[in-house]
Amino acid sequence: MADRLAYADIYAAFKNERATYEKLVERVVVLLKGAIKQAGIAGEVKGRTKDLASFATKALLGGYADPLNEIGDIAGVRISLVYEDDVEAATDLVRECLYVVRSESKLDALAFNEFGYLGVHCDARLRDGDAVDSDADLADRRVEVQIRTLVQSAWAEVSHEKLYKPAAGVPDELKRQIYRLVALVELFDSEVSRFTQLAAQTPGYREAEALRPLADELLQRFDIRVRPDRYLSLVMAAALLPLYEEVAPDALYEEVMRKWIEDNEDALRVQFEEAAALRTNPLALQPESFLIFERLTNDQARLHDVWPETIPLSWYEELAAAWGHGHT
Amino acid sequence: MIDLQLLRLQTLIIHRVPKKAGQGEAAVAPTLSDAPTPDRADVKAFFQRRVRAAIAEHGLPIEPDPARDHFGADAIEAMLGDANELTPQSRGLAARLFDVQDLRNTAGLLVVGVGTVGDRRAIALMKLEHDSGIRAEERRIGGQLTFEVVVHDDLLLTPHTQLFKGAVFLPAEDGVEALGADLQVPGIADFFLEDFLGFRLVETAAVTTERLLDAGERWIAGLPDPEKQARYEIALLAQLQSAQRRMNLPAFAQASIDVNDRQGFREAVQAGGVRWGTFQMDTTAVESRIKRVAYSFASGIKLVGKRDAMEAHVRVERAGESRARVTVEDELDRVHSHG
Repeated sequence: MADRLAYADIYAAFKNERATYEKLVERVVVLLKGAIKQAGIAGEVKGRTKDLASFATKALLGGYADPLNEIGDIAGVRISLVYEDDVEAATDLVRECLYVVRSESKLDALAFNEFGYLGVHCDARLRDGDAVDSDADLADRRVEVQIRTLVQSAWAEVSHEKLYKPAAGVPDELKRQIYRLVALVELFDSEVSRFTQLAAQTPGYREAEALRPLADELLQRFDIRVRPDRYLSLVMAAALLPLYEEVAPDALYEEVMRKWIEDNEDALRVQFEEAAALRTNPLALQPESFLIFERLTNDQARLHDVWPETIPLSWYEELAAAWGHGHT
Repeated sequence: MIDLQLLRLQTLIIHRVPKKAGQGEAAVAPTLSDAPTPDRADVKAFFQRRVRAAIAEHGLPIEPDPARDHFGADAIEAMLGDANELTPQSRGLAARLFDVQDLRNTAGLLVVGVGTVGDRRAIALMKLEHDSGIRAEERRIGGQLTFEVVVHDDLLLTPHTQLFKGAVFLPAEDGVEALGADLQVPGIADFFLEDFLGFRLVETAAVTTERLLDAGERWIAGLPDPEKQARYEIALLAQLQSAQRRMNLPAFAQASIDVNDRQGFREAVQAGGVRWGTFQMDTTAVESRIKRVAYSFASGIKLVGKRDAMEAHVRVERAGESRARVTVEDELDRVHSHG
């Protein structure tokens, strides 16, 4: 009977507080999503607040004297990254966005001959400026931020589901089947990282990657459902990107193109409508057409000067005329 | 300011305007459409691009000429006010075009389009003349497959045709804002601009030419490199003094201005109120400013200056067989050296 009362008390106490934690999670997710996107890190940010029953059970079984202050993962936010190489940068971003009280890399806890979960966990609070007057109740609340790769996330979820949730215990030899997969997870992330580094050294790779946000614009903003010709993209990117010599290829979209596209959206819309109706110029619906139109506007002479010999000059002339900028 | 990048044509109507009959030939008359041409996205896109390209390269601001009759201006204003006026008003315009043309004008089409430029209604008007081309047509001759090449001399508009006059009109607070273009002659042919439309150029060729010289010289004077200053100044003056009566600014820049300087030149010229394209040159207002005297020596030294400055500061004396002594007496402004 005493246990049941304690459970009910814990349950009721958390019920009063849970909405505040939900607000905290929402705030932290927005902060970190923005930071990850601005930094160009590929990954996703999700949050959850512990549910009432789960909190009460953990509090009861863990024997906590002050569970609301002692349990660290009531508010939880997870950053799942596509690339392992971004874990450090993402952890730095968490430190910039939040006040990190304590952080722990699970790798540090493993000996060289041990395999296991490798995420980074940070116990954090909102920085003073982020807990505005209306949300002053968020100021001292803790949030646990987990940073790991998508593959580590998948393994963690599967292992949690299969090893800890079943009511009946799982024999050790079966647990081993799940645990030996974690070595593959580490190998997977490491090989993806190695591939990414080697691919970046391939001629034209960085330039072609710089066109990806433009291809997304073409599809999303202008609804052009044409698969880009990769050969054309490589040739044109190699010719065009040196015209933006003061901007690194991977910063081109954010630093130059995004605002230019916004400012010229109506004119670009007319261009793509015409190109889709006429289908006379293979370049007109390629992502690099944004770069061509931008250079036609801001430095037409150099664009003409660097036009690749392998791409018909008539394609350039047609685009220039269509854009209303003559031939040179 | 007409931003033709935003031009969209919604409805097009086409009328045939034949060549005038000569003496002893059977009478001819325009063939006037009763309705707009069937709605096709590719046709509208094609005409949008042709109008935009022609006006961008050859467009000149035009305005109704109060000294001429209002027929053209009234028809355009009626269509700008009500898109349903397209058919009746364009029929009137086609008949008018036939009337003002003479035996020198070839047969062609008058295309009139109603559309928009951004959120403003727009009328586009194009006069197209016949072009020629060939097409390979599949034939079976004696049971054998072959291709017969057929000459078509009644094509109306190919991507490269230059047989084209056009204009775009938008409503403005004080009536109408318009740009006209003629790809066949410097400026815009009188019969098209004045007799057919009843319009005139907003600015004379002499004023545009003076604007170019002002803007060009201002830009050149601001360059840090004296070698470039001299080279560009000579090129600009040579162009203005040439026998050509048409100034093609993109072609001039490509031939005479270093690639890294062309955008700056273009922006300076546009800031000076000159459209980046082709316009008719008239140097009557700048005659005295473009006269230059140049001395070239066997050593490669060149001495260039305005005629009156040369007369005031330079003395040339004979210094032996085929040699000259040149004395410049002036206030030394700047000295530069390279290498």
